Amino acid sequence: MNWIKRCIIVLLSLITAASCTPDENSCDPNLICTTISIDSNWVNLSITEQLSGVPIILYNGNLENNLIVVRDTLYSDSHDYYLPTGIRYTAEAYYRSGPNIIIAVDSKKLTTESFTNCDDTCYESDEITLDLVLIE
Amino acid sequence: MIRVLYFFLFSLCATVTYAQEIDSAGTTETKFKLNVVPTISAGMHVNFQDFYLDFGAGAYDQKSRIGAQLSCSFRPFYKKVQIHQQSNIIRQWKEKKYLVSLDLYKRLLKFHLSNTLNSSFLTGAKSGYLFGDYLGTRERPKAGLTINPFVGFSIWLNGINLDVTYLFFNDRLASVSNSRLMFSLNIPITP
Repeated sequence: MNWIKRCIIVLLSLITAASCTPDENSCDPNLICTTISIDSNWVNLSITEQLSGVPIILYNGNLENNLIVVRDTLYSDSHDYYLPTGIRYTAEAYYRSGPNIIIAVDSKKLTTESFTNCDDTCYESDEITLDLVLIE
Repeated sequence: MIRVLYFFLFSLCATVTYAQEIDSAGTTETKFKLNVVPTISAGMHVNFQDFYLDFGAGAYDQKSRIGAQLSCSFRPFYKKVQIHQQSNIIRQWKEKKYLVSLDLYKRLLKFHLSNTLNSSFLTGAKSGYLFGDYLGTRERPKAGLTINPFVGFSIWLNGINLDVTYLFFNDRLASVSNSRLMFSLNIPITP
């Protein structure tokens, strides 16, 4: 076996080792732990600003479900909504471009994760950004 | 149509050169003997607008220098694309795409880059099924069969082939060029 093959095997081993998750039974007393379940978080909509405003529609789930959460017109390049976690949100932004209408779509799930630290159940949730900025 | 012509042109070139090599061998006994080794490969194809990872496994006949492998290529991120939905309505989706393909290739005309580096030309085609999905909808990009020819050269790096080729890859996006550079490490698994 030559040195290139050895390098590839070492590289693959390192990637495998790096992808391992930490021990679920670990205990770190200095860790900041939120023990109250997080049921809501921020959904940020990022858009391309237009003088006349950009109409947006925020849906619960896929577009086809047609479960509208918010209907709004945005006049700045980003806006936040505080919404329940555990749900996939999909947003549409309607842009006028000459005779055309460009409808930008993005979708993400607002999740809450839990882990155990020193016999406590800790919760964490990251806010999400739906990127509706037009392609340049 | 152009893609089909491309494919036939490359196939023809490969077959003609293959025939010449067999003729030069001179004997009919050696004509159909195979010396096949399994191969694995990893690589990517890129241009300024897009990037796909590519993994495959297959077999390579060291005598005829023809190889075949089953490959999976995919864009490892969601890319913003604009698709005309109606005459004046354009949808901007976030799209992920996959290609499951059978790759046929042939290495031609061995030559030396230096005392230690052997190389050869390489030609072939990735033929398979291209499909994908959009975020936030059950709608999907148009899927279908595709033939993507490639041509370039291959450097033998002491046990591994480094293939650098031009790939004509039509992923059915008007905003993305069909021309790509494909880099691939192809490893013959020899005992």
